[in-house]
Amino acid sequence: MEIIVKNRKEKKVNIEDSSSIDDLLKKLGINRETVLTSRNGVISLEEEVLEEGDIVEIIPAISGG
Amino acid sequence: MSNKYQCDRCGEKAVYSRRYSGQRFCSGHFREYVERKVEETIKSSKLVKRGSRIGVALSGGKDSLTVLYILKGLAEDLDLTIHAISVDEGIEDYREEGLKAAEELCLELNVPWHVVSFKDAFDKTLDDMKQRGERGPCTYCGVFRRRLLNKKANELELDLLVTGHNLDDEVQSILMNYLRGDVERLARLGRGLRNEGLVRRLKPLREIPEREIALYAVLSDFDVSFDECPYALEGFRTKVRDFVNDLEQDHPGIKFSILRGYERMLPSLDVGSATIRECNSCGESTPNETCKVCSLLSDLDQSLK
Repeated sequence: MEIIVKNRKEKKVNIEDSSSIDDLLKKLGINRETVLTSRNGVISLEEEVLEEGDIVEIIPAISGG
Repeated sequence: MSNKYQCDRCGEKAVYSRRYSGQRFCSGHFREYVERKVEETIKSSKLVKRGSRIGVALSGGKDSLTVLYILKGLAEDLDLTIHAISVDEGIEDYREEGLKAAEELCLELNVPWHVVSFKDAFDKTLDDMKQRGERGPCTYCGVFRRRLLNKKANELELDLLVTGHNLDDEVQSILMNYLRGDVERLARLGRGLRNEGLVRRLKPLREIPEREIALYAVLSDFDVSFDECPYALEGFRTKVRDFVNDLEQDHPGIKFSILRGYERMLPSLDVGSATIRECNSCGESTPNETCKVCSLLSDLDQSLK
Protein backbone atom coordinates (compact mmCIF):
# COMPACT_ATOMS: atom_id res chain seq x y z
CA MET A 1 0.00 0.00 0.00
CA GLU A 2 1.09 3.58 -0.39
CA ILE A 3 1.23 6.12 2.42
CA ILE A 4 2.62 9.63 2.78
CA VAL A 5 5.41 10.36 5.25
CA LYS A 6 6.16 13.89 6.48
CA ASN A 7 9.60 14.14 8.01
CA ARG A 8 10.93 17.60 7.26
CA LYS A 9 9.74 17.02 3.72
CA GLU A 10 6.91 14.98 2.34
CA LYS A 11 7.38 11.78 0.43
CA LYS A 12 5.34 8.82 -0.69
CA VAL A 13 6.36 5.51 0.79
CA ASN A 14 5.40 2.05 -0.34
CA ILE A 15 4.89 -0.40 2.45
CA GLU A 16 3.34 -3.83 2.96
CA ASP A 17 -0.35 -4.01 3.73
CA SER A 18 -1.19 -4.19 7.43
CA SER A 19 2.09 -2.57 8.41
CA SER A 20 2.14 -0.69 11.67
CA ILE A 21 3.81 2.62 12.32
CA ASP A 22 6.49 0.60 14.10
CA ASP A 23 7.12 -1.33 10.88
CA LEU A 24 7.30 1.95 8.98
CA LEU A 25 9.89 3.36 11.37
CA LYS A 26 11.97 0.21 11.05
CA LYS A 27 11.76 0.44 7.28
CA LEU A 28 12.91 4.06 7.39
CA GLY A 29 15.70 3.23 9.83
CA ILE A 30 14.33 5.55 12.52
CA ASN A 31 14.68 4.67 16.18
CA ARG A 32 11.24 4.97 17.76
CA GLU A 33 12.82 6.28 20.97
CA THR A 34 13.79 9.46 19.19
CA VAL A 35 10.48 10.44 17.61
CA LEU A 36 6.78 10.99 18.13
CA THR A 37 4.40 10.12 15.34
CA SER A 38 1.03 11.35 14.25
CA ARG A 39 -1.34 9.61 11.91
CA ASN A 40 -3.64 11.82 9.88
CA GLY A 41 -3.03 14.68 12.26
CA VAL A 42 -3.57 12.79 15.51
CA ILE A 43 -0.78 11.64 17.80
CA SER A 44 -0.66 7.88 17.46
CA LEU A 45 0.64 4.72 19.05
CA GLU A 46 3.43 2.98 17.21
CA GLU A 47 1.44 -0.24 17.15
CA GLU A 48 -1.36 1.32 15.10
CA VAL A 49 -1.89 -0.42 11.79
CA LEU A 50 -1.75 1.85 8.76
CA GLU A 51 -4.19 2.11 5.89
CA GLU A 52 -3.77 3.14 2.27
CA GLY A 53 -3.32 6.89 1.89
CA ASP A 54 -2.56 7.57 5.57
CA ILE A 55 -0.42 10.62 6.28
CA VAL A 56 2.21 9.94 8.91
CA GLU A 57 4.12 12.82 10.41
CA ILE A 58 7.38 12.14 12.20
CA ILE A 59 8.21 14.61 14.94
CA PRO A 60 11.69 14.64 16.48
CA ALA A 61 11.47 14.08 20.21
CA ILE A 62 15.05 14.75 21.18
CA SER A 63 16.33 18.26 21.39
CA GLY A 64 17.76 20.72 23.82
CA GLY A 65 15.68 21.14 26.96
CA MET B 1 -12.70 4.65 12.95
CA SER B 2 -12.20 1.84 15.39
CA ASN B 3 -11.37 2.54 18.96
CA LYS B 4 -9.11 -0.40 19.48
CA TYR B 5 -6.23 1.63 20.83
CA GLN B 6 -7.74 2.68 24.11
CA CYS B 7 -6.61 4.33 27.31
CA ASP B 8 -6.39 1.73 30.09
CA ARG B 9 -8.16 4.03 32.49
CA CYS B 10 -11.00 5.54 30.52
CA GLY B 11 -11.33 3.96 27.09
CA GLU B 12 -10.66 7.18 25.20
CA LYS B 13 -8.29 6.99 22.25
CA ALA B 14 -4.77 6.28 23.46
CA VAL B 15 -1.97 8.56 22.31
CA TYR B 16 0.86 6.87 24.13
CA SER B 17 1.85 3.39 25.10
CA ARG B 18 4.70 2.57 27.41
CA ARG B 19 6.60 -0.36 25.98
CA TYR B 20 8.10 -1.89 29.06
CA SER B 21 4.82 -1.99 30.95
CA GLY B 22 2.24 -2.13 28.18
CA GLN B 23 0.24 0.73 29.69
CA ARG B 24 -1.77 2.93 27.35
CA PHE B 25 -2.79 6.51 28.01
CA CYS B 26 -5.15 8.99 26.47
CA SER B 27 -4.02 12.60 26.27
CA GLY B 28 -5.66 13.64 29.53
CA HIS B 29 -4.42 10.70 31.60
CA PHE B 30 -0.96 10.94 30.12
CA ARG B 31 -0.61 14.56 31.15
CA GLU B 32 -1.96 13.75 34.55
CA TYR B 33 0.59 10.97 34.91
CA VAL B 34 3.47 13.31 34.06
CA GLU B 35 2.24 15.99 36.44
CA ARG B 36 1.88 13.55 39.28
CA LYS B 37 5.32 12.11 38.63
CA VAL B 38 6.83 15.59 38.80
CA GLU B 39 5.02 16.29 42.05
CA GLU B 40 6.29 13.02 43.53
CA THR B 41 9.87 13.77 42.55
CA ILE B 42 9.62 17.23 44.08
CA LYS B 43 8.12 15.91 47.32
CA SER B 44 10.65 13.13 47.75
CA SER B 45 13.52 15.57 47.32
CA LYS B 46 12.36 17.34 50.47
CA LEU B 47 13.81 20.54 49.09
CA VAL B 48 10.60 22.42 48.46
CA LYS B 49 8.74 23.90 51.41
CA ARG B 50 5.84 26.28 51.73
CA GLY B 51 7.00 29.71 50.73
CA SER B 52 10.12 28.50 48.86
CA ARG B 53 11.60 30.90 46.33
CA ILE B 54 12.34 28.91 43.22
CA GLY B 55 14.18 29.79 40.03
CA VAL B 56 13.57 27.85 36.84
CA ALA B 57 16.38 27.71 34.32
CA LEU B 58 14.36 28.36 31.19
CA SER B 59 16.04 27.64 27.89
CA GLY B 60 12.73 27.67 26.02
CA GLY B 61 13.13 24.06 24.99
CA LYS B 62 10.50 21.43 25.65
CA ASP B 63 11.93 20.33 29.01
CA SER B 64 12.25 23.69 30.70
CA LEU B 65 8.89 24.90 29.37
CA THR B 66 7.28 21.74 30.74
CA VAL B 67 8.87 21.98 34.17
CA LEU B 68 7.95 25.65 34.50
CA TYR B 69 4.38 24.98 33.49
CA ILE B 70 3.89 22.11 35.92
CA LEU B 71 5.69 23.88 38.75
CA LYS B 72 3.53 26.94 38.29
CA GLY B 73 0.53 24.66 38.60
CA LEU B 74 1.73 23.62 42.06
CA ALA B 75 2.74 27.12 43.12
CA GLU B 76 -0.50 28.29 44.61
CA ASP B 77 -1.05 25.26 46.84
CA LEU B 78 2.49 25.42 48.18
CA ASP B 79 2.73 29.19 48.25
CA LEU B 80 5.81 29.22 46.02
CA THR B 81 7.47 32.23 44.45
CA ILE B 82 8.71 31.40 40.98
CA HIS B 83 11.19 33.27 38.79
CA ALA B 84 12.35 32.21 35.32
CA ILE B 85 15.95 32.76 34.25
CA SER B 86 17.06 32.40 30.65
CA VAL B 87 20.68 32.40 29.55
CA ASP B 88 21.41 33.89 26.16
CA GLU B 89 24.64 32.33 24.91
CA GLY B 90 24.27 34.19 21.66
CA ILE B 91 24.02 31.08 19.50
CA GLU B 92 22.63 32.53 16.32
CA ASP B 93 19.06 31.51 15.40
CA TYR B 94 18.85 28.63 17.85
CA ARG B 95 18.82 30.68 21.03
CA GLU B 96 16.49 33.33 19.60
CA GLU B 97 13.76 30.72 19.09
CA GLY B 98 14.14 29.45 22.61
CA LEU B 99 13.98 32.92 24.12
CA LYS B 100 10.80 33.65 22.21
CA ALA B 101 9.10 30.55 23.54
CA ALA B 102 10.40 31.32 27.04
CA GLU B 103 9.06 34.85 27.01
CA GLU B 104 5.69 33.71 25.71
CA LEU B 105 5.16 31.13 28.42
CA CYS B 106 6.28 33.50 31.18
CA LEU B 107 3.77 36.07 30.00
CA GLU B 108 1.05 33.46 29.86
CA LEU B 109 1.83 32.13 33.34
CA ASN B 110 2.59 35.53 34.81
CA VAL B 111 6.08 34.51 35.91
CA PRO B 112 8.83 37.15 36.17
CA TRP B 113 11.38 36.54 33.41
CA HIS B 114 15.09 37.40 33.66
CA VAL B 115 17.60 37.12 30.83
CA VAL B 116 21.35 36.99 31.37
CA SER B 117 23.66 37.05 28.38
CA PHE B 118 27.15 35.82 27.58
CA LYS B 119 27.75 38.97 25.60
CA ASP B 120 27.01 41.19 28.59
CA ALA B 121 28.87 39.08 31.11
CA PHE B 122 31.91 38.00 29.12
CA ASP B 123 31.91 40.35 26.17
CA LYS B 124 31.76 37.33 23.82
CA THR B 125 28.99 35.11 22.51
CA LEU B 126 29.39 31.34 22.42
CA ASP B 127 29.85 31.62 18.65
CA ASP B 128 32.83 33.95 19.35
CA MET B 129 34.25 31.56 21.94
CA LYS B 130 33.99 28.61 19.63
CA GLN B 131 36.01 30.47 17.02
CA ARG B 132 38.71 31.71 19.35
CA GLY B 133 39.00 28.94 21.91
CA GLU B 134 40.67 25.57 21.81
CA ARG B 135 38.01 23.70 23.76
CA GLY B 136 34.76 22.42 22.36
CA PRO B 137 31.82 24.82 22.59
CA CYS B 138 29.98 22.57 25.04
CA THR B 139 32.77 23.03 27.57
CA TYR B 140 32.47 26.81 27.59
CA CYS B 141 28.70 26.71 27.40
CA GLY B 142 28.17 24.44 30.41
CA VAL B 143 30.62 26.20 32.70
CA PHE B 144 29.55 29.74 31.87
CA ARG B 145 25.85 29.00 31.89
CA ARG B 146 26.08 27.48 35.36
CA ARG B 147 27.94 30.52 36.63
CA LEU B 148 25.44 32.99 35.19
CA LEU B 149 22.44 31.03 36.48
CA ASN B 150 23.96 30.81 39.90
CA LYS B 151 24.81 34.50 40.04
CA LYS B 152 21.29 35.50 39.09
CA ALA B 153 19.77 33.04 41.52
CA ASN B 154 21.83 34.52 44.35
CA GLU B 155 20.88 38.03 43.31
CA LEU B 156 17.21 37.08 43.48
CA GLU B 157 17.77 35.32 46.81
CA LEU B 158 16.36 32.05 45.57
CA ASP B 159 16.34 28.87 47.66
CA LEU B 160 16.43 26.50 44.73
CA LEU B 161 17.24 26.34 41.06
CA VAL B 162 15.06 24.00 39.03
CA THR B 163 16.28 22.65 35.71
CA GLY B 164 14.52 20.58 33.06
CA HIS B 165 16.97 17.65 33.05
CA ASN B 166 15.06 14.52 32.12
CA LEU B 167 15.75 10.80 32.48
CA ASP B 168 17.71 10.70 29.24
CA ASP B 169 19.94 13.57 30.41
CA GLU B 170 20.60 11.86 33.74
CA VAL B 171 21.39 8.51 32.14
CA GLN B 172 23.71 10.14 29.62
CA SER B 173 25.55 11.97 32.40
CA ILE B 174 25.90 8.80 34.44
CA LEU B 175 27.36 6.91 31.49
CA MET B 176 29.59 9.78 30.33
CA ASN B 177 31.16 10.10 33.76
CA TYR B 178 31.56 6.36 34.10
CA LEU B 179 33.11 5.99 30.66
CA ARG B 180 35.57 8.78 31.40
CA GLY B 181 36.42 7.26 34.74
CA ASP B 182 35.36 10.44 36.53
CA VAL B 183 34.19 8.82 39.73
CA GLU B 184 34.16 12.08 41.63
CA ARG B 185 31.72 13.67 39.26
CA LEU B 186 29.69 10.50 39.24
CA ALA B 187 29.35 10.78 43.00
CA ARG B 188 28.52 14.48 42.93
CA LEU B 189 25.85 13.97 40.26
CA GLY B 190 23.67 11.96 42.58
CA ARG B 191 24.24 13.73 45.81
CA GLY B 192 23.81 17.28 44.66
CA LEU B 193 26.83 18.15 46.76
CA ARG B 194 27.37 21.78 46.48
CA ASN B 195 30.01 24.23 47.37
CA GLU B 196 29.07 27.27 49.36
CA GLY B 197 27.59 29.99 47.26
CA LEU B 198 26.08 27.54 44.80
CA VAL B 199 22.30 27.49 44.86
CA ARG B 200 20.81 24.06 45.47
CA ARG B 201 19.55 22.30 42.34
CA LEU B 202 16.45 20.24 41.75
CA LYS B 203 15.57 18.23 38.64
CA PRO B 204 11.86 17.40 38.84
CA LEU B 205 11.83 15.69 35.42
CA ARG B 206 14.72 13.35 36.11
CA GLU B 207 12.63 10.18 36.12
CA ILE B 208 10.68 11.00 32.99
CA PRO B 209 11.99 9.87 29.58
CA GLU B 210 12.71 12.63 27.09
CA ARG B 211 10.20 11.30 24.64
CA GLU B 212 7.42 11.61 27.23
CA ILE B 213 8.38 15.22 27.87
CA ALA B 214 8.22 15.87 24.12
CA LEU B 215 4.75 14.38 24.05
CA TYR B 216 3.65 16.46 27.04
CA ALA B 217 4.91 19.60 25.29
CA VAL B 218 3.06 18.74 22.08
CA LEU B 219 -0.17 17.88 23.90
CA SER B 220 0.06 21.11 25.93
CA ASP B 221 0.49 23.16 22.75
CA PHE B 222 3.71 24.85 23.82
CA ASP B 223 5.16 26.87 21.01
CA VAL B 224 8.35 24.87 21.13
CA SER B 225 10.88 24.22 18.42
CA PHE B 226 12.51 20.80 18.30
CA ASP B 227 15.68 22.04 16.68
CA GLU B 228 18.98 20.83 18.03
CA CYS B 229 21.76 23.10 19.18
CA PRO B 230 24.02 23.50 16.15
CA TYR B 231 26.99 22.49 18.32
CA ALA B 232 25.37 19.38 19.75
CA LEU B 233 26.69 17.00 17.14
CA GLU B 234 30.25 17.77 18.13
CA GLY B 235 29.86 16.48 21.64
CA PHE B 236 30.63 13.21 23.36
CA ARG B 237 27.16 13.37 24.87
CA THR B 238 25.54 12.90 21.45
CA LYS B 239 27.44 9.67 20.91
CA VAL B 240 26.33 8.40 24.31
CA ARG B 241 22.77 9.53 23.65
CA ASP B 242 22.58 7.60 20.38
CA PHE B 243 24.07 4.54 22.04
CA VAL B 244 21.55 4.57 24.88
CA ASN B 245 18.63 5.08 22.52
CA ASP B 246 19.77 2.12 20.43
CA LEU B 247 19.85 0.02 23.58
CA GLU B 248 16.44 1.20 24.73
CA GLN B 249 14.88 0.33 21.40
CA ASP B 250 15.82 -3.30 21.78
CA HIS B 251 15.75 -3.46 25.59
CA PRO B 252 12.84 -1.29 26.74
CA GLY B 253 13.29 -0.03 30.28
CA ILE B 254 17.06 -0.01 30.26
CA LYS B 255 17.25 3.71 30.90
CA PHE B 256 15.44 3.17 34.19
CA SER B 257 17.71 0.27 35.08
CA ILE B 258 20.73 2.48 34.56
CA LEU B 259 19.29 5.14 36.84
CA ARG B 260 18.20 2.73 39.55
CA GLY B 261 21.49 0.84 39.47
CA TYR B 262 23.35 4.10 39.81
CA GLU B 263 21.23 5.17 42.80
CA ARG B 264 21.99 1.89 44.55
CA MET B 265 25.69 2.26 43.84
CA LEU B 266 25.83 5.83 45.11
CA PRO B 267 26.23 5.16 48.86
CA SER B 268 29.33 3.13 48.09
CA LEU B 269 31.01 5.83 46.08
CA ASP B 270 33.62 7.61 48.10
CA VAL B 271 33.56 11.23 47.20
CA GLY B 272 36.57 12.31 49.14
CA SER B 273 36.61 15.86 50.36
CA ALA B 274 38.12 18.73 48.53
CA THR B 275 39.05 21.87 50.40
CA ILE B 276 37.03 24.72 49.08
CA ARG B 277 38.97 27.88 48.42
CA GLU B 278 38.34 31.22 46.82
CA CYS B 279 39.29 31.75 43.21
CA ASN B 280 42.40 33.92 43.07
CA SER B 281 40.82 35.89 40.26
CA CYS B 282 37.14 36.40 41.07
CA GLY B 283 36.61 35.10 44.59
CA GLU B 284 34.01 32.46 43.76
CA SER B 285 34.22 29.05 45.48
CA THR B 286 36.47 26.50 43.83
CA PRO B 287 38.50 23.44 44.81
CA ASN B 288 41.33 24.79 42.68
CA GLU B 289 43.40 27.94 42.81
CA THR B 290 41.55 29.48 39.92
CA CYS B 291 37.93 28.64 39.22
CA LYS B 292 36.89 26.99 35.98
CA VAL B 293 35.22 30.13 34.66
CA CYS B 294 38.31 32.28 35.11
CA SER B 295 40.68 29.66 33.74
CA LEU B 296 38.56 29.22 30.60
CA LEU B 297 38.26 32.99 30.20
CA SER B 298 41.99 33.45 30.45
CA ASP B 299 42.52 30.68 27.85
CA LEU B 300 40.17 32.55 25.52
CA ASP B 301 41.90 35.86 26.03
CA GLN B 302 45.29 34.34 25.46
CA SER B 303 44.26 32.75 22.19
CA LEU B 304 43.34 36.18 20.90
CA LYS B 305 46.93 37.33 21.14
